Amino acid sequence: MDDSIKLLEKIMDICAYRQKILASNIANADTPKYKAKDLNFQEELKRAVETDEQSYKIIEASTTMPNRDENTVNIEVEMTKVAETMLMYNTATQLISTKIRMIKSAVKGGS
Amino acid sequence: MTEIKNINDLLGKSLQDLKNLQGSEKESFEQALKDAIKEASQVEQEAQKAIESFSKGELSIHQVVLAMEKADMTLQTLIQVRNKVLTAYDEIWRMQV
Repeated sequence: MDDSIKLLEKIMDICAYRQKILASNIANADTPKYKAKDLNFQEELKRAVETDEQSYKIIEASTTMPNRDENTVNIEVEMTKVAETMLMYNTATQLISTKIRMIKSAVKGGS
Repeated sequence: MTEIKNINDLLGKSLQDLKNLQGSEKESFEQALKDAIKEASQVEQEAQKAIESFSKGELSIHQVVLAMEKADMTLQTLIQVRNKVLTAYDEIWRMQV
C-alpha cells in the first residue's frame, strides 16, 4: 500500500504530541524559571518517517523576552502555535478519511 | 483531467454523421475507457505527491485538500462508469438472439 497513510499517521502523532507540550507550557505560564518547550515539526516528521521511532526531541522554544521570574512562556505565542497545530491535525484527519473512503469504495466497487 | 464535454454536439447528428467523424473527433470506446483509467491512476499519484510535499511544508493546506478531493472524485466517477459498463455488458449477454 502507498506511503501516504503512514505519513499522515505520523503527522497526526506529532501534532498530538506537540499539542501536549503546548498545553503544559500554558499550564506552566506562572511557574517561576519555567522554560517554554516545543519541537521542530519538520525535523521530527522526517525522522519519524525514516527511522520509525516513537520518541521526539523536545527543544526549548525561542522566545521574545523572558517574563518575570525567568519564565519564558508567552501565552499569545502559545495560542498561535496551538491553532497552527490544530489546523495541521484537522487537515491530516480530513486527508486520511478521504483516502480511506477511496480505498473502501475501490473494495466495495461503488454503491 | 478530461474535460467534461457537452453532448449537445453529438445529439443533433445522425448515425451516418457520427460514422464519418475524422481524426481527434473519432475515438473508440475502448480507448476512451483506457485513457480514463490511466488518468484516474495519475490523479491519485498526484494526490500522493501532494501529501508528501505538504508534509515537507512545501504545499499549503487548501492545495493538498483539493488534490485529494480531485482524486476522490475521479475515482468515484470511474467506479460509476465501470458499474454502468458492466451492467451494459450483462444486458447484452442476456440478450436473446
